[in-house]
Amino acid sequence: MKKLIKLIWRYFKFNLSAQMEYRANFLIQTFGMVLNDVFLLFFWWILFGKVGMINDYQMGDMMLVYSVVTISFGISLVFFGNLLNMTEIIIKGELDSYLLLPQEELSHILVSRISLGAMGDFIFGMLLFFFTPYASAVNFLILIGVSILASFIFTGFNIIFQSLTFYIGNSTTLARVLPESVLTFSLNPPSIFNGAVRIILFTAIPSMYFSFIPISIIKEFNLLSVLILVAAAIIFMGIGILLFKRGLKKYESGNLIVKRM
Amino acid sequence: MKRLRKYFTVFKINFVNELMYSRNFMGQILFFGLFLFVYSFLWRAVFRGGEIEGFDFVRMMWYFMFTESIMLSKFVFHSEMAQDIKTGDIAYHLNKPYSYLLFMYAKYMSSSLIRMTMNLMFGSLILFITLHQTPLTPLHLILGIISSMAGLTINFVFFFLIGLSALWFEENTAFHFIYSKFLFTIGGLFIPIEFFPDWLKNFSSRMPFMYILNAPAKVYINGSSEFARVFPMQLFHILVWGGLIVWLFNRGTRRLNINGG
Amino acid sequence: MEKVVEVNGLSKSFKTKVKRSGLKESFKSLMHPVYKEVKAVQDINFSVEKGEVLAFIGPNGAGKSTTIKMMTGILYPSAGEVSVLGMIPWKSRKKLSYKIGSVFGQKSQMWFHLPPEDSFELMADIYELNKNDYKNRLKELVKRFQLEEIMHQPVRKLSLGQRIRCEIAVSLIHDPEILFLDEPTIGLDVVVKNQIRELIKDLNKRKDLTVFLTSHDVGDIEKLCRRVIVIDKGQLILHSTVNELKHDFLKTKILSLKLEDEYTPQLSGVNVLKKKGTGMKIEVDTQICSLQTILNDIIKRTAIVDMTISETPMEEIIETIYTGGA
Repeated sequence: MKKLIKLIWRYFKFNLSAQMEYRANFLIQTFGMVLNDVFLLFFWWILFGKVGMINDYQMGDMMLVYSVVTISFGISLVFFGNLLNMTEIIIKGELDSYLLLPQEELSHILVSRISLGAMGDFIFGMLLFFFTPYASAVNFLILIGVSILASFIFTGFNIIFQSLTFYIGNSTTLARVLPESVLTFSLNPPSIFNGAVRIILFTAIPSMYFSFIPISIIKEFNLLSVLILVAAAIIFMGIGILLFKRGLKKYESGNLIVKRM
Repeated sequence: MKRLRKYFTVFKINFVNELMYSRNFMGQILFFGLFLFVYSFLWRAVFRGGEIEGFDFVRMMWYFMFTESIMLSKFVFHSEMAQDIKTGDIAYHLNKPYSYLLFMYAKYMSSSLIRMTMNLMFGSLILFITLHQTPLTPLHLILGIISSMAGLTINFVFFFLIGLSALWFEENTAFHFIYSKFLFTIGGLFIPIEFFPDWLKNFSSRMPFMYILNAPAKVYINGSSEFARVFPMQLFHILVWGGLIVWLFNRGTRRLNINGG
Repeated sequence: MEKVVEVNGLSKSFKTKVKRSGLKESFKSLMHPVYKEVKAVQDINFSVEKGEVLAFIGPNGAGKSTTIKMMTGILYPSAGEVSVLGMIPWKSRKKLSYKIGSVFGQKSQMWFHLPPEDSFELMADIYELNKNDYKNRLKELVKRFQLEEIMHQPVRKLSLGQRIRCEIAVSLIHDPEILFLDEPTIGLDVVVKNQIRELIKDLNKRKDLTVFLTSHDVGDIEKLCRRVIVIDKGQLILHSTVNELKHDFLKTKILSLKLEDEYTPQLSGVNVLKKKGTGMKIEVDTQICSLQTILNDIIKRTAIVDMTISETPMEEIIETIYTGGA
């Protein structure tokens, strides 16, 4: 574990300096993402300006949602920059280089890259929080806490669908569409969704863990919601890790490799 | 007329080409469907059976479908054009007996129209099945398509402008990014201009962006009266901005010829 | 001599779906997939001694990479045994990885965007090297591989030769006992190729480093290896030394001659490859016509001004083996 943390720090340092080499690109990627997120808020600014409230949500609540989503997605992709590249790594055979090293594969793959865009998201989310009506020192700590938990849910969720490549040969489309769906659903007032859809949003497309639950915890701290978040993080990460390990065993039996020969 | 025939040939060839590369287009269609699904919940919650600024839930869904059908159909070519300019390949085009401008326009329109048609068919199908209602009539449809084509033309002009910027600037991705954001916001992609606060409404109506998305969508919904209002403005913008790029193009290419690419 | 690798009865088969063309067939294959068995490696036996440089060659698709994958533990076999440094690779992959190094010339390592010095530091952490050991080893490697000037440059700015030098150096930071080299000189020009070969030879001699080399480059094999294993269609078809190959396999010698007068050989087993006036190149199958015979014949008819005797190029030998000749 200590080794992993050392590696995370090393990769972060090295990847950051390597990316900063391309100064223009670095700035564009990071601040471009911040700008991009600001424009998304435009829609809500207009809409709430017109209708005031949507069910029980106000502009401030929407901003809080954006804050949590961008921070948690950001945390996940900054440290686990290869999270959305796993399918490609498996298909291209780059997985082999990781297998030949004395380090646990999944964690190694994930931390060996960082995402600059994700850093922009993270910065945006952090700054945005202070413009919400919920900004306070205590709430900030709670924000970080729930965001970290949510980032594990995001990570586990994606590991699941990226690892499907081991089983179905190429899960690229699925692995791309699903996180986008989670994003799309989570950037909305959660109460607009009815019963049946809600169930899906707690399971297959877990956007409720990025909107509904974190917001309710920040608005009014309650232990049950925190426990739900923790449980979800454990479940998604657990299933993800399991699927990856099993898939790796399959990979070692070689039937995937033939397709590349 | 004979001179124009070659552009129709380009148009036809590209049309067929586009048909064959429909696979990656499937991904876009998926997202389209996803957005429609998510926003149906949002707008249902917003309208709650009522009306705002002349829109109700059904009209809003169709509005959104129409703006997206145009937005997702745009054939992006500013990087290709930048490449042509940077490598000097554009010289080949300038030496041939056709206008590079019209050539790109034919290419652009053929790709965009086929995608727009597919988006319209898909979107309309989904909305018919789920909403059972539509503000569309055959007349609205025809006028809407004409207005969409005008909107696509205005968009082409701006894309060409962004491409031309390669004559003077190193990177034009930032321009494209900013332009997209304008379309996103004051173009009325997700929310009609009618919802904007007055000052912004005024500002937006003086800008060409709303005539790319918002105007055609309104024509589909409201028909001939809307068409009579917006179409002249669309033509106006086409002439003004089109004139600009023709002038810039001539100046720019003269510069190229002098410098030898 | 101590054996560091032992391979016995190694086999590997894959199941692949039979793909057929046509819409009807594709649909059928979706409903009732038919599998066929591909025997990638069949019953291979060989061993590698400590400190030797062994060439492992074969045409594309022969089963080379499959075999290496089983030796390094990435793949497990359908049958047979492998022992590398006393360990079963696929069972103790992580443990084994501390002791082996690998360079795959065609695949760029995952840190291709980092400067070499960063890659070294990363490896030091990954292999959990002692700080002092690492520092000393690094100094040594930088000196041997002449990396002083390029240590701080991002890899994308390096030439292919510099990159390969870095990759080999990085693969040795943890002082492995065996080095797996796959196509290390591919794409390099002659001068750099020799540089790399010298480096490998040097390492092998001084550190008793066992090298398992896969290469299509015959020069690599000739200059570096004593023994050769040839694999084709999953089976071991030849197990020999480089010298034996050249001596046993094709007993042809090539004579480049400059004579006083024109000469046309009339003996069987002698082939004229090139002729221009009094200069000529002839190929002699020494199994049919001994060198003594042909030389006597030449001297009888004319005088030899200059002569070089060389052997059949290794390329030809290998090609003959691949195509199943001799």
